[in-house]
Formats: sequence, C-alpha cells, structure tokens
Amino acid sequence: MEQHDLDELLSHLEKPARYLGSEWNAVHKDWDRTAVRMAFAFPDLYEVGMSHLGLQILYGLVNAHPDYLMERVFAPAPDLEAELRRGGLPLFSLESHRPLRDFDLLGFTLQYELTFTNILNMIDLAGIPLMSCERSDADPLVIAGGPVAANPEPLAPFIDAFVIGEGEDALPEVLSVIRQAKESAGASLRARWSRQRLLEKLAGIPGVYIPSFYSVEYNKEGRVQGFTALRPELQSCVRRRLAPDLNDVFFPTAPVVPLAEAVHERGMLEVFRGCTRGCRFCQAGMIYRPVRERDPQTLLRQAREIIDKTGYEEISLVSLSSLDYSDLDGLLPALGDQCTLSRTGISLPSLRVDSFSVDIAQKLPGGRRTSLTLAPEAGTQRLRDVINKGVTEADLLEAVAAAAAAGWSAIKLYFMVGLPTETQADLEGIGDLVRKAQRAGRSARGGKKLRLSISASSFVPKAHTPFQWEGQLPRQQLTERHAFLRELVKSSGADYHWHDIKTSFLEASLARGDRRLAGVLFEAWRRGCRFDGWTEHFNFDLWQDSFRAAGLDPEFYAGRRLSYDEALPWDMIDVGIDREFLVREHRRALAGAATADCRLGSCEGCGVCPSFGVEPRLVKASTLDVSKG
Amino acid sequence: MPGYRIEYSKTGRARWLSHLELIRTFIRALRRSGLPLVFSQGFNPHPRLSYCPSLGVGVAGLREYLDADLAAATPLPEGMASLGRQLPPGLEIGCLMELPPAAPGIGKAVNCAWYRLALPPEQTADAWQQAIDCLVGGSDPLYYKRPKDGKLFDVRSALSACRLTEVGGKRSEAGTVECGASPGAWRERTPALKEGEGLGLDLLVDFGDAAAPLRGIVETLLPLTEAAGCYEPARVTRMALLRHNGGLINPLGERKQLWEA
Repeated sequence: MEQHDLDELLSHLEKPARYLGSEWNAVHKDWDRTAVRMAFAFPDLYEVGMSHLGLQILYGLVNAHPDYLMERVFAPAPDLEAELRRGGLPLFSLESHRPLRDFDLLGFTLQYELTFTNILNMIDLAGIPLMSCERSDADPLVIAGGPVAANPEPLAPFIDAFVIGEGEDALPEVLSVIRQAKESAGASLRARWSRQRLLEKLAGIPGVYIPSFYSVEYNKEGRVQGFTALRPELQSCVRRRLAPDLNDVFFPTAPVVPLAEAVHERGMLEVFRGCTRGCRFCQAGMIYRPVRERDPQTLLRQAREIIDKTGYEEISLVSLSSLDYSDLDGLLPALGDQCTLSRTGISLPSLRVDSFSVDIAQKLPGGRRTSLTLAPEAGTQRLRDVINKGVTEADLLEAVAAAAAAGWSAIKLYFMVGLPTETQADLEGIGDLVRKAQRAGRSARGGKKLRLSISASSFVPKAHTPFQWEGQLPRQQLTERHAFLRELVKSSGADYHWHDIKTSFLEASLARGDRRLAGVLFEAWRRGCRFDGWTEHFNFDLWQDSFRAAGLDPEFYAGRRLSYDEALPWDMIDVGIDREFLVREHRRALAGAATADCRLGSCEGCGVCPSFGVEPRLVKASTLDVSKG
Repeated sequence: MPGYRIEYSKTGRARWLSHLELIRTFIRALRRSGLPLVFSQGFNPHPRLSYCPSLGVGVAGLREYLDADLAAATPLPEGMASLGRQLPPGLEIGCLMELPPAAPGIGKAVNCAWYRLALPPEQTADAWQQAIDCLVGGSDPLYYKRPKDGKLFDVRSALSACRLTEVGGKRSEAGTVECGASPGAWRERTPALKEGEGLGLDLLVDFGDAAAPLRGIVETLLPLTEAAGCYEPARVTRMALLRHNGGLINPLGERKQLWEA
C-alpha cells in the first residue's frame, strides 16, 4: 500500500497503532530475496494477539530462517473492516502493508472457538475464496494450528491444511514443501505445483491434517458414524507434533514489543510445557502432555536476553502452572537478582491454591500487586475430587490468609458452574467457602475487610478430555444456578461476576462440533457475526438464525451426553492420549476418585509417553505436593 | 542528579502513536539503552520523565521534547547514540542536552507551537489568503464547538500568528514580525505563492486549557475557503515548540525568529 493511502486509511481509525507494523523487534525482510512468504494471522484484535506467546515463537522462528519471511495480521477492528469494505481495499499485513493475497500462505492460530467468524472474515477481506475447494492454484494456501485444532472439524471446509500440535517442528517442514513447490515450478512468480499436488505433499508431513482428504459419514440420528481417509497413502489418523526437549527448540528472546497497548505487556518466559495434574475438564492439561521443563540455566539466559531486548517492566513465568516447576529453588533466587538489578518485576499468570505459592509470589520483585487470583474451581471436596482438582478447603483458606497478611487487599476466586454431577450442595459449598475466606481475610488484615470477588464460568466440555462425553447443562438451568450462586455470594459480601451463558453455550456447541457446523459458521459470518468472544459484539440471535438456516441444533452439540462407543467428530486427531485412559478417568470422576500426578513417580497410563517415545522431563525429582492444585 | 532534555522527531509510521503509546515506547527504549534512569519511590516505581504537550494522533513532530533525570552524569554523544539505537522507526533523536540546575521542566518551557498544515490542492492561494484574513482579521470571538463535549473555544484568541507558505519546494520569503504584539497581529502576507499543490499554512498556536485545539482551528478555517475536506492529521506537522515571552525561545534555550526552524 502506498504511504499516502495508508495514512488516509489510518486517519479514520480509532487506534492506528494497531496496524503500523513498526514495533521494536518487528522483522522487515527483503520481500524479493525470500523464497517463502507467510502471513501469521491472529483472528482477534492486535491487543489480544500481541499477548500470545505462540505468535512470538513462530514469528521469531520463521524469520530466523534466511529464506523465509513471516509478517503479522490481526483481525481488523470494526472500524478498519468498514474502511476496507468501503474502499474495496484488501486486508494487508502489518510489516510491509501488502495484501495478504501476495503471500504464499496464510496461517491462522486457533486459540478460542469464538474467533471462528473472524477467520472467515479475514479470508474474505484478503480476497481469497472462503472455501478451500474454491481456491485456485494462484491463491495462497490457508493453514491453521493451535490448541483448538484438536477438534478442527467445524473449520474443515475453510482450511486447506491443519498443523496439529506444536508448530516449532512442523511449520518449517511445511514451508520447506512450499519452497520445493515454488522452485520446481521454475522461477515464475506464483507458479507452483497444482494445489492438489501441494496438498498431497503436505499430507506426507507428520502432524499435517488435510480435511479434504477425509470424508465423514453420519448415521440416521445425525451423529458422526466415522470417517474415511480418501487416499491409500494416508494414515488413518493424524498424530500431533511434539518437541521432546524444550531446551533444544527455538524460543523468542527478542519478541515484538507492541505499540498499541496489549492485554499483557510483559516478557514471557516459558518455564515448561504440559501439565499432568489431570484436571478432568482441562483440555490444555491433556493435549500438551508430558511435562517438559526447561533448565534453569536456559531460563536465566533467556530472561536476561528478553529484558535486554525488550525493555519490558515485567517478566512473566508462563506455563500451565508455573509454581509446579521442580527447581524453583534453583531458578527464582537467581532470576530475582537479575530482575531486581534491571528494575524488572516478575509475575505469575495464575497461582496455585496454597500458602506456599502466595509466599513465593510475595517475594518476587514487584510481586505484590493489587489483586491476586486463585482457582478452587468447585465448592465442595466431593466435586473437587470429581474434577480431580486436588485442592482442599484448608489450602484455600491458608492461601487467602497468607495473601491478606502479605498485603493483598483484593482476591479473586474462580469457580466453574455446571460441572458434571454438580448439585445444589456444591453451589452452597461455594457460598460457604466465600464466607470462610472472607473471615480468614478479615482476621489476617486485622479486622479490615478483604475485597473478594468471585468469578464464575460455565463448564464447557472439550475434545480429548475425560469430560468430552459430558453434556453442558441447558441454558435455563445454568442461568438458575448462576442466579442462585449470585445471591449466596452477594449475601456473603463478595462481588459476583459470571461469564455470559450464551457465549459458553456457543463455545460448547463449536468445541464438540463436526464438519456440518461449517455451514453455521458461514451463515453467522454472512449475517455479520464478528468478535463473538467480545460481549459488545456478540449477537446470539444471529447465531440462532444461523443454526436454523443450516438446519442444525446447537443443543445437539453442546448438551448431548455422548456414549463411549459412538464415534467422535475429532477421532481423526490423535493427541497421543489413549481413549481407554479418558474413559477410565471419566469413570473415576463419576466415582469421585482422584488420580495422581505422574510427576510423583507412578505412571497413570495416559499413553502419551509410549505414543511419542518420550518421558516427562523434570529438572529435579519432583517434590510436588499434588494434594494442592 | 542531572536532568537531561532530549529533542526528537516523530514522523513516518510513528506519527500514528498516541501520547500514551509514545510514552511507553520511550520508557522501553530508555530501559533498553542502559542509560541510568532514576525511578520514583513506591509500589510501582517508574522512571522520572516528563513530556511536552501531547501531539494529536497522526500529526508529525519535528522537534519534540522529553526530560529525563539520570542517576549519573552521562556523556552527551554516547547517551544520544545509545538511546538512538533503541528507537523504533519514525522516532529519531535530534539532540541531547544537560539541563542547567533549576531549569524549568519541559512543561513550563513551552507555551505555544508552530504547526504547518499541508493544504489540499483544490483552492488557490488567493482563496486561502482570504480565509486567513477573515480568520485573523476580525476581533469578535470565533467559536469552535468540540464535538465530544460541546465545549466552546475561541479560535481567534488561540492563534498568535499565521501565514501561507510553500512546502516541499523552495522556501517562502517570510518576513519577520516582531514578537510581543497582541495575539492575531503576527499575521503576515507572503506574496507570489504558486497555486495548488505545495501550499502550506503555518500557524502559531497557544497552549492552555482555554486554547482551541488544532482541529478546531483547521475546521473553522476550511469552510471559509469553501474547500471540501476536513481536518486530516496526516497533513499536519508540528514544526517547533516554543515559549513566547517578549521573544521566541525554544526548549534548548535558543532564541528563534518567527517561522525559523
């Protein structure tokens, strides 16, 4: 885009800084001297996408390769979309402000089901045909990856290829195939193998799923009956990719520093990947196994570089539960010294529910902030055993007292409503906990009241978890339960915030969706649905119309309890967890039986290690207290 | 601890940064540069910096300023180089100066700004000159109503001087006007301007709570020419920040003539 046109466009936007592409550490490569050009597409606003570690990893990784180039594009805010459509302008990348159509491939990251309409919108604004089958050889390849690709089916017709699992290994292989495709086609511009030939080659890369190479069959009741690989050379299912040793993989120590203020502005230090606490609702806890820790030396070096190269005021220890890192003693004091010297704070995205965690958090440089979040998830010991969240009432009250005594004046407690087997007693249990927490806080603060706020979401069953067979409660019941809980919590003198029920309902219907839902996504996009995860943009009526227009019932996807013997829409995706393990875990859940964390030594047989020929990689023998979660 | 004043320009893509975005960008650049910043006390220590009056989003600035306290005396060329290396595209250091003890901060060192507006090509120089005459010629208040809150500003009283000029091409022969005259009296004619593209409007605008915003001045001026168009920040450049007090002086302590870069 010409500078003048860009200025003209930017002058109409509320936050032009979202689209400048001139951030510190942004990479501006020579377009003509790179063999393969990829646009990384984040289907949400700049502010959200720039807080995402995966973007920074892949951006750094691809741009570190001399022959590859990666630029960024985010979902255009409504004001930019309006300008683009008004002026007939194509969606463009941030770094070179080129139309997305000029790239060889466009890669979406799937972090949240409610960004799906933004994906359709971005493909459309790029001027690329929406459906994979309508794209020509001259169109860019459209790929997608990320955690939500664990069930890619609702997006199947729109995406040429999914990359399942960790992208650090798989993406360079994809780019290398595209490079071959372009080179063998001669020096001509966009000429490459036919799209079909390219997809065939890509299908040979482990972890790459080409949805058009599989057909899905449905039975009379409208359930998925099974799927068929349409080519003899294809594996029956696609196993996710995994990096066995995180010390060996690329990590971005010069991440792009946002210009427009992002949701989280801090250096991210990934201490480990994977979590084996085994919370039964948690998808991340299943699909990123096993636990792989980075060495403290690696982490200290990376922290030093991040501080030097970004100037961030804060470093965040990122993982699914950072205080489970086995060598905190080896890491934190040295990291603390490093950070104190450079006036850098250290933060933890979430805290384990115990006083140990609170003590650690308090001692971190810049560690004591205004608010602290703890997630007991459920109100009674019985229900916490069902979900395998090994936290006790005593843990919670000690953590609250420790936090209050250490000077935190506001604490947020996070719960889930509508968990499998939940009864009124479990909701009353939350009220009870809140009262006790209030009391513990007050006495630790010398009589001063603690500001407690309760945040409650609704349970959403997710693929590849022990609760994948469970249905979500009907909306009416969820509404009643939240209303009941709200009164209880308010009468205990705490604030109550709940996550929008319709949003959770839609999330559930997409999370366990099959390929037919693509029709709903199309209808919803066509009706103007965008940014569905944002309360101010979410329009449930349009979604209901869209389901109706596509002849599908959202309740069928969100609420139905599945049986163990039926085929699941995501069966072609193999995350390495044995189905028998998930069944066993589901049964143990219903029996209220806890399952231990394998970091303590006893293998619970989830199947991941034999699947990949790997082992959990702990820096030190774990002294983890798994009774606390 | 010594105080320093940094002169920088904000152009290109960086002109689209808001004031807050600019501040965060500078803080991080300063942190990366390794200059010995001084931090405030308290729970959330932040570097002791002060900024000149904010620039509208989209407006370029050629001579903008930032004051920073440093914990130790810093050699100027090295300090300039180490910060300069850390700035993203569009931000460039012009110079670094050590402030004399007890020098007024940047906020007190300026009370007016020279803006240059690249004029849309549709109107002739004569039409613009007539509009300017009309704007500065009268003495009655000429009000601009700010859309977001309906607050009224007197455009005439905010404007200290104004002239037509050529931009891009050869410089206009601008005569000097004595400072210290009453507001509105700094107007001057610049004859023999070419018509069309390349025409610019120089404005010397006062700061202050009651002073009309630049957008208001421009939006009041445009209808006077019957030109189609609206305030476009990308056409505006803040040429200089100055203090007028009997004469014009820039934040580096240099005396300046009106319209002198």
